[in-house]
Amino acid sequence: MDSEIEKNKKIFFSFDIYSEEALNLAAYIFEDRIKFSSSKKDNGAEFVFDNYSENDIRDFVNEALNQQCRIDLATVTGPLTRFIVTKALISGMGEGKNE
Amino acid sequence: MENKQQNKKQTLLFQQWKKNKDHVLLTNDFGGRIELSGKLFNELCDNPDNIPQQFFDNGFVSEMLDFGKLGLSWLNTHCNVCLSPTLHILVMTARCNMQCLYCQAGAPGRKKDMSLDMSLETAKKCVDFAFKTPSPVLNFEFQGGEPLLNWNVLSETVKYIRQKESESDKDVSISLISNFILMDEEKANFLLQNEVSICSSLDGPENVHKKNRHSENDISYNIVCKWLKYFNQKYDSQLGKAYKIFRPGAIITVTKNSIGHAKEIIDEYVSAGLESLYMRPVSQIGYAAVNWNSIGISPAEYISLYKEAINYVLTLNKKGVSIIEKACQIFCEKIFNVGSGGNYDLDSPCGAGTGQIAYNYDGNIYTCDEARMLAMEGDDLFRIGNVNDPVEKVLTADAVRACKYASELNSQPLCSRCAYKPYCGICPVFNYATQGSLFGNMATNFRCAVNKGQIDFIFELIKDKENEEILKKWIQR
Ligand code: SF4
Ligand code: SF4
Repeated sequence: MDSEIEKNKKIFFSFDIYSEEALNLAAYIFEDRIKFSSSKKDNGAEFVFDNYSENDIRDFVNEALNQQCRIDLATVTGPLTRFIVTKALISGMGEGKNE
Repeated sequence: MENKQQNKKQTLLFQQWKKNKDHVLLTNDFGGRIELSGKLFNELCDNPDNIPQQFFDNGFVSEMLDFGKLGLSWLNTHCNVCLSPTLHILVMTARCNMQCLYCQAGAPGRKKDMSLDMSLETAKKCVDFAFKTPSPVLNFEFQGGEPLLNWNVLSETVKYIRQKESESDKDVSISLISNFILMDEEKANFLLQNEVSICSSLDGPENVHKKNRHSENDISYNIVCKWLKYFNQKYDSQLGKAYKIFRPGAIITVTKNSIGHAKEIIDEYVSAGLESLYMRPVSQIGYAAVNWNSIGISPAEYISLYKEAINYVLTLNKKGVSIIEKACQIFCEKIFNVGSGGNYDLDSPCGAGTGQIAYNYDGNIYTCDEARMLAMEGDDLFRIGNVNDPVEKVLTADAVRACKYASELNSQPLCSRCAYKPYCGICPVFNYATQGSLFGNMATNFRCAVNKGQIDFIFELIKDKENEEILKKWIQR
């Protein structure tokens, strides 16, 4: 169930935890869903949400965290993913075993 | 987690684990699986002195890995990394003569719009395109809308496929998904003689089916039952025929209307003479999203219904009734046989554009049928080309690459450490449609919750030896 719509909620995301890339990706995913503006402040970014519901905000923060985790994970598993994806694409073109 | 015992140089590789009540399930990417008590797990973590033999055998000790054997197991479980498209879905028409609550094809405005039919010229180009792809195995699947509405093109295309097959060394199969409203004896004979396997939709007993699948004068339920029986009889009496007849299949879309009817749904399938059923929850994409209030179902509701259904199927099996559920069979194949399960949506990466491709009525090509459905709603993100394009260009299109990256589970924060990773897959089209990005967010993802619930339940079931034996028999079929 959607919670009530409120106005002008400010949330600060510290760059110690969230990279600009993660925040941009989350903002991109939510740009059609919630109205917000953002500005850099101190060592982070402040997002001001307009006409939001608590659920929307929760989902946005969740998505920013998801994106940051993906970026962090890519430094560890990126090479493996690239190897597997390349193999899949090459096989798709017929260079490899078909079963 | 890595536990190092420096002096013996043995490192326990706990890639993925999950605590289920007092047990811990350990899995790895080579299909290795060990269930142990929480106490033993903690002891091994604290002090891995006496590592049990099964940890060595299943690839859980890093200094004792048999790379040849483990590599083969890895390939078996990741069939999509060595495939080129085998499944070629041809949308014969985007029109339909029914009006189901979860599908846009029967919307009144488009029922008579013949421009939504595939022309024979386009259909032949689709077939030519498929024969130019590198796979030695091709499965053509006719879909819609309702494909029988474009019967002349469909039947000519079947003949064309069989002619091309005779001139090539590819192994070809053909299947049709139909609501049967326009089926008659002549069409049925043609399909049987051309070895076309048949599948329909049966959402359960009449009252449930009727609520989901609207047809003029509510004839759908009776017609589906009639033709499933007909094709079943043909299957049973095929001895001496010059051609092979396949047992008909049916799929169930589980909606809010199915809740409380799990047993009746199974009984319906048994009485229709079917030996398998394939349950899937309605997806909140396309037209179904518009009707979500009347048909939507939550993951918890779905899993509760699913458990009731599978428990009932197992009870029937114990009484000698032959019936299986396919989603459960696929997971069991992955768990017990370390196989791929043969389902492109449950592979990592998924089969979009490499295991399957879908040709829309207008000759545009998409990574898969779900992507094509999204296009029918006006979003062409997963379009990978057209039948007039070179095969190489289509098979390496941006959308194919994006789907591969997005569905490779090692790149997903929650999946990369999930004990169910070897059995699971995610869908970039579904993620995009429901969560706004191809990668999605598994913490709140509907499909993740459903897959997790189903696999949890299977591990619970196989604690009982009799259930385990029955489920192992399912995968031999
Ligand atoms: S989708 Fe969910 S259940 Fe499947 S591997 Fe990812 S986290 Fe696990
Ligand atoms: S994108 Fe989704 S529907 Fe398409 S092949 Fe991948 S998992 Fe299947």
